[in-house]
Amino acid sequence: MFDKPETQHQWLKRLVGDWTFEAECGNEGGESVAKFSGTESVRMIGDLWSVAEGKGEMPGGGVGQTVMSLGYDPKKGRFVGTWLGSMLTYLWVYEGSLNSEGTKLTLDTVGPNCMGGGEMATFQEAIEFKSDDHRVFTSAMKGPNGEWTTMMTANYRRTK
Amino acid sequence: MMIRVACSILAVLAFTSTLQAQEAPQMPAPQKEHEWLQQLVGEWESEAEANFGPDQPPVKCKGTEKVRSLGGFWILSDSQGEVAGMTMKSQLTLGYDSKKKKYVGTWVDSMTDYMWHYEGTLDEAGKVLTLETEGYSHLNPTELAKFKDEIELKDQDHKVLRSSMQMPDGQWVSFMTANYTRKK
Repeated sequence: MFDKPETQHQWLKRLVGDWTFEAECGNEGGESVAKFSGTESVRMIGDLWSVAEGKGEMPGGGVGQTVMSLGYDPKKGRFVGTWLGSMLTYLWVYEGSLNSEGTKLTLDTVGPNCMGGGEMATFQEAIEFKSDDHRVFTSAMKGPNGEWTTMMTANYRRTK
Repeated sequence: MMIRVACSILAVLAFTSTLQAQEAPQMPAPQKEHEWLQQLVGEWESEAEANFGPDQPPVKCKGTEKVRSLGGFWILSDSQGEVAGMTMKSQLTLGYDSKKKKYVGTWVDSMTDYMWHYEGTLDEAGKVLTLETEGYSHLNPTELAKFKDEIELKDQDHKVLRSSMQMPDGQWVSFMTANYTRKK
């Protein structure tokens, strides 16, 4: 009756803890539009789900809150999850997979084009562990000609 | 993960500032559908009874639920209960997608590796939120079936959650009812 955790669920526990992040919009190494920072707290719900709650100053003022839930669906053979933010009414749905080294989780999703316009676009996001206490999040959007543009990069460092 | 939102806002700022340099961008404001969800915010005690078939005794479960608001658009509900001597934890997220004009959300719990995705509507009286979803059938765990969770607000301090599953013949069978009383 109860589902048993697999190695993929075990992997999610690497995220558990308290983190600070520094993020920038725009291409890595390219011209960045803005920098901002915040904190994130990640816990498990049982052994099967991780929930990350983030908090940060929004550009233009105000505090934004986010929730990212991640699990692994053995029947699908894919990581699954969602992301939501206190200032958006859209629920982002993830499906993803881990690289063979177990260092990088790549997540595919579809959502509103963040350059405005309101039409939907394809995104690929990734969580990459550089060490147990440092991970990098990137988000790339697929353009109309199939080219990928990194929209944002964030460095997360563990505080607990 | 804040970044996507922040970058979106920056993009909007950049976009609008070229058009209307004097005007601050308008962030969307919560609608009445979002406000309805805020009635669920608080702390609740629950008593649930589940039936998984005529040949099985009903399972009773007592639990607690804490519901928080995330901005004005979302609620986040964390529950804990005892099922068959084990602690079950779950999280429910609910929002209203202004574009889809549907309630949207998810359910995950500590016993299940499957993520439930909700899409729902509120009845005209504003009392019953019906959330439709799909998951593995109780009759055959390799087959998907349609499920329905209904949240009925009896009054500000009492709500009922009813879960039902659609049988292969199209009939809906209720398998769980939980009564909630507000503590806070």
